[in-house]
Formats: sequence, structure tokens, C-alpha cells
Amino acid sequence: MSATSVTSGRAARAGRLGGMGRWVAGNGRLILAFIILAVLLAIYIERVPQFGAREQRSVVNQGLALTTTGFGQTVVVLTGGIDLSVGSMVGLTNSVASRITDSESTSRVWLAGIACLAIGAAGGLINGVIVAYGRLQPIIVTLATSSVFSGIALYVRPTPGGAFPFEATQFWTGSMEFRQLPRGMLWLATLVVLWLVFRRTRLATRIIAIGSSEGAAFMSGVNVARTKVAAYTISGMAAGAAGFYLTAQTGNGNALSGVDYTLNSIAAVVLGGASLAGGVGTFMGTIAGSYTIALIPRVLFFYDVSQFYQQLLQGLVLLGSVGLGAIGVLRTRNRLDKV
Amino acid sequence: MSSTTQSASEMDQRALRQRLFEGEDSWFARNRTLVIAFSLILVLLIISGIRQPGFLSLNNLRQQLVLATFLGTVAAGQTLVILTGGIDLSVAWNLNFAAILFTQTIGGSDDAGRIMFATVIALLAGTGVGLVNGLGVAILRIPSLVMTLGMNTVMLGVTLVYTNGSPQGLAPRFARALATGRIAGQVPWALVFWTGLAVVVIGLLKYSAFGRRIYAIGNNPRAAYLSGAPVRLNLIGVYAFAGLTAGLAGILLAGYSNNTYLGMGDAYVLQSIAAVVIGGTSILGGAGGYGGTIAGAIMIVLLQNALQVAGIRPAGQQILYGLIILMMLFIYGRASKVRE
Repeated sequence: MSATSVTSGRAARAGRLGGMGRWVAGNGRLILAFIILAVLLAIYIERVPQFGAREQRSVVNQGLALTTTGFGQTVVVLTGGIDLSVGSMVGLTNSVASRITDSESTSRVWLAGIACLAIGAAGGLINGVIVAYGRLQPIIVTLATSSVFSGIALYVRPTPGGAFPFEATQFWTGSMEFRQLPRGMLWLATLVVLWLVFRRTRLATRIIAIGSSEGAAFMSGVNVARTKVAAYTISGMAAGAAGFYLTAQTGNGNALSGVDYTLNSIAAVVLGGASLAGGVGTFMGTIAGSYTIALIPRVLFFYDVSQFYQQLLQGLVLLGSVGLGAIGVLRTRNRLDKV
Repeated sequence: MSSTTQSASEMDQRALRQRLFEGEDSWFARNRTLVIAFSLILVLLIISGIRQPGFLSLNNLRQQLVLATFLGTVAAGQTLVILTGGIDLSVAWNLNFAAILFTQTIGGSDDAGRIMFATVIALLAGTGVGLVNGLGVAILRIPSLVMTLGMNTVMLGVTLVYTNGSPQGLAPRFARALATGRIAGQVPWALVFWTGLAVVVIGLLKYSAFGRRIYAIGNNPRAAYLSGAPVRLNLIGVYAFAGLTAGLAGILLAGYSNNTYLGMGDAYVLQSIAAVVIGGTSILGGAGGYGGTIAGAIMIVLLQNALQVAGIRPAGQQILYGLIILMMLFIYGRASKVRE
């Protein structure tokens, strides 16, 4: 009843607008995410003495591990699920990588990278199989496997330590020859290309179909279970990649290094305009969300605000952005359906 | 004559057995999850008792029950929230802020009025945070996961700003007595408190309109709304109650450790959710109750203690902990297949 009137109202509004206007109307939350990021970046650059190669590098690097984790989280959230084990997986792969690498040989770095991706994929596969074939709720399944992953991480690396070759750190987190741009931008661009390619695959369409309506997807012949397994595997692999990058960045391993990534990746996905109910969201939004979260402490630092305000601001930005996105709900008379 | 009485009592027994165990409406079918949860506690006790006789000493069990009280208090609010189909991730720093507000307001004073004032303020703070959660979830319809996650970060920030990173103050004598004292040297006050809380929560869920509506909302919010239940008001009440129990747990924990510190509530987010789920309440809402959560809280605390006593490293404890939650989920049964 009123549900249809809401949709038709929106369609009518969009119909009056041109192509560009229609895009803006349909992507309000995504645009809001980039506006918030742009404002933050602007007030940051305004205060930083010199936004040179070094500053650019550290800004790009700071958000990269979270963005990578967010890639996988976006895919899982699109199915209507959630992955609470990504933080533990980052910690686990970080620990494993730091066991493989030493301060000398760069050839072992590649081995570490492959191990991280493989372990991430295996962990994600386990999550996916339990969620899809066990038909259990993802929130509690991934909570349980998260406990298992971080337990294994503590066996692998009981105390923080390990080493990473300096040249490799330079390679992964340094600057490129081209205009001294941060190499992190290359990794970010790679992720974007991966997303654009992924978005055009049948798997992505199936994932969004499941997130929009699992029943309808099943009726139209989508293999729901197999698609879910794929989504969780991607999420685990992304967390593994983030764990590897974190090793390159910090030069050592720590079983607890991933603690913040679980909730921050969800916050980034939500800030980026995705719906936790599934079916709506893009990795572009997640990039904006991740960098918003990563930039907040830096902005506060350069404005001489006590670090104690960092969490407060981060929480308020998250709630404010979600609240702004939800304000449309107050205009609708319909109290039944999600808007 | 004796044979007729015998057969009569036999029939009675059969009827009783039927009522208890057979059919969908039997006592066992209705309380299956409760029976499973409490039987697992028994199994846990027997295994640990064989391995480590000291585990079953009155003193140790009493101590474990006191520890379970703190978890059970947080999990009381969590149970109600999960029954509506939501989740409360804000308990960690809501609890922590309430505890710190409590001890800092008292500031070492012995004045009864001041202690009373501090208690009221701490509970109000907890309830207030819950109220904001409820408003966001019910009015703005923000998913509870996001709303409470955001509130948790905000409360972490508020706590850091309020304490400048180092919380002050000691817990007053009454809070210490509540968390560690015993009546006549035998029965812990904490258990008396927990029993009272359990009676209130179970009574609320079983016999009040508020409680029955919680199940209705968890089963089908649309149907609940269409049948005229004040869904939004109810939801706000549930989240406010969860805030209140977090505040109560904060005061108890402050009393238990005699002071407050940053991060004292961190463990309670996941543990409270685990206690609710192990207790057989569906994470989707609508089915379950606080009785199971009590079993879940006791089981988690006993399990941790048993693993410690068995000399398993924290790493191994975490792995087993995760595996046991998964096992419980499989025992309780899976969702039905999607068919349309």
C-alpha cells in the first residue's frame, strides 16, 4: 500500500530529473560520504604545513588496510550478511606473515603474501560454508570463528615481534617515481579496478539479488548457498590482503593488530551508504568511509585537539552521517517498511 | 485391590511421561533449549570435577556464580534487545562510563547522600544511553548494530574526555558488599541481587504486556504494529532497560574490583551476546527467554574457569570457546531452507 506510493513517488521525482539528477537522487548517501571525506581532507590540508609527498603517502597508507578489509565487508553486507571475523583474520594473517618474513630476504615476502591470501580465503570459506550450508546466522557464526581465528593467531605469535625487509616496506608503502605519488594510490586503484570488474560478473549480480530478496533470488535459479560461500571467501581473502599490507606497513606481527578492523570496516561500509539489510552499497562508498575514519585522528592531531576526542568525534561522525541518511524516514507516513 | 492401585499409578506415570516428553506441546518440547543448556552445565561440572576435584568445592562454585552474576546482569538487557530482533553493542563503554561516573562522583567520600546521588546518576547515565539507542532504532530506524556501535564509540570518547585517560575514585562500601559480601558468611549478596533481577526480568517477559509485545515485535514487527502494539515505545523501553542493566553491571563491577579502569566492560559485549545465544534465544528475535541466558552466563563463566584450571593457554581457550558456540548453534537447530 503505502510502500508502493513511496516508491512511485521516488520514481516520479526521479522522472522529472535528467540523467544526472536521477543519479544524484539515487546515490544520496554515497555523495554524502564523499562530501564528508572532502570536508575532512580540506580542513586537514588547510592545517598541515606542507602537503608534500611524505604527507600524501602517510594519508593514503593510513586508510589502505581498512579499505582493503572494507572491500570484503562490502561484498558480505551486499548479501545481507555480516562478517565479524575480519579483524581476527587481519591479526592472524599479520601474525603468520611476520613468522615467514625476516629482515633480509625479499623473496620470502611473496611467500608471505600468498600465505596471507590463502589463509584468508580458507577462513572465509569456512565462514561461508557454515553460514550457507549450516543455515546459521552470520552475525553469531562469524563471532564464533573470530574467537577461533584470534586464538590461532595467539598460538602463531604469542607476543608481538618479527621483521620485514626494509626494501619491501619501501616498495609497498613508499612513493612511485612518477611525480613522487604514493604507491598506495596504485594499490587503491587496483582495488577500484578489481571492484569494477567484479561488479560486472554474474557473481556480483547474484550477490545483490540475494541481498535484495533471498527468496526471489532462489526462485529465479540463483544457487544461494554457493553464492554466499563465494562472498565470505572474498571477505576472508580481502582481510588476508589487509593483514599482509599491515605487516609491510608496521614491519612486524601482532596477534591483536586487527582488533579495530571488524567494527571499523562495518562503520566504513555504513558510512559509504550501504544498507545492512543487503542489496545496496558499493566499494566506492566504502573507500570514502574508510578514509573518513582513518583521517579523523590525523585532523585532530594537527589541530592540537586532545587525542581523547578522537573516539568521540569518530562516533559522532558515524551516528551523524547515518542519522542524516535516515532523516527521510521522518517525512514518510508509512511506519511499516524500511526506507 | 493392590493390582488396581498399581495400574492406576502406572497410568498416572504414563500420563505424566506423556505430558513431559511426548508431542509438540509437552514440557520438554517447550523447554528443549533450557534443558540442553542446563544439562551441558552438568556435563561441564562432571568433567571438570573428575579432572580437578577442587573445581567442585563450594568456595569455587560460589565464586564462579558471583562472576556469572556480572555477565548475567549485562545479558539481561541483551536478552530483551535480542528478543526484539536487535543487538546492543554499546554495553562495553556504557557500562564503563557508568562505573567511572559512579566512583568519580563519590570521590572517596563516605557521605550516604553523596553515594546515593552517585548511584542514581550512574544508573541514569546508563539508562540515558540506552534511551538514545532506542530513539535511533525506533524513530530513525537505524539498524541496531550501527546505532549501538556508534553509541559505543561515542561513550568511549565521552569516558576518555571525562577522565582524561585515568579514572579516579574508589567504590563505596555498599558496592563492595554487594559484589563480594556474603550473608552470614555463606550466601553472596550478588546472588541475591541476581535472583531478584531474574524474577523481575522473567516476570516481565512472561506476564506483562510489555514483555509479550517484545516477542511479538521479534517475531514480526509489521504484524505487531498492525495489531496495534505501540512498537516504537516498546523498542525504546527495551533499549533503555538494556542501558539500565549495563549501568547496574558497572556499579557491581566497580564494587568487585574496588576501583574503575578503562576497558573494564570490553569483554562483556561478545560474552553477553554469547550467553544469550548459548541460552537458546534466537539471534533473529522472537523466541527464547532469560532462563536460558542465566544458563548461558553460568556456562561461559564455568567454561572459562574449567579451561584455566585445566592449564589451557588463553589462545586455546579462545579457540575452544568459539568452537563450543558453533556446536551449540548446531544443537539448537538451523534455519529452514529458503524456498520462496
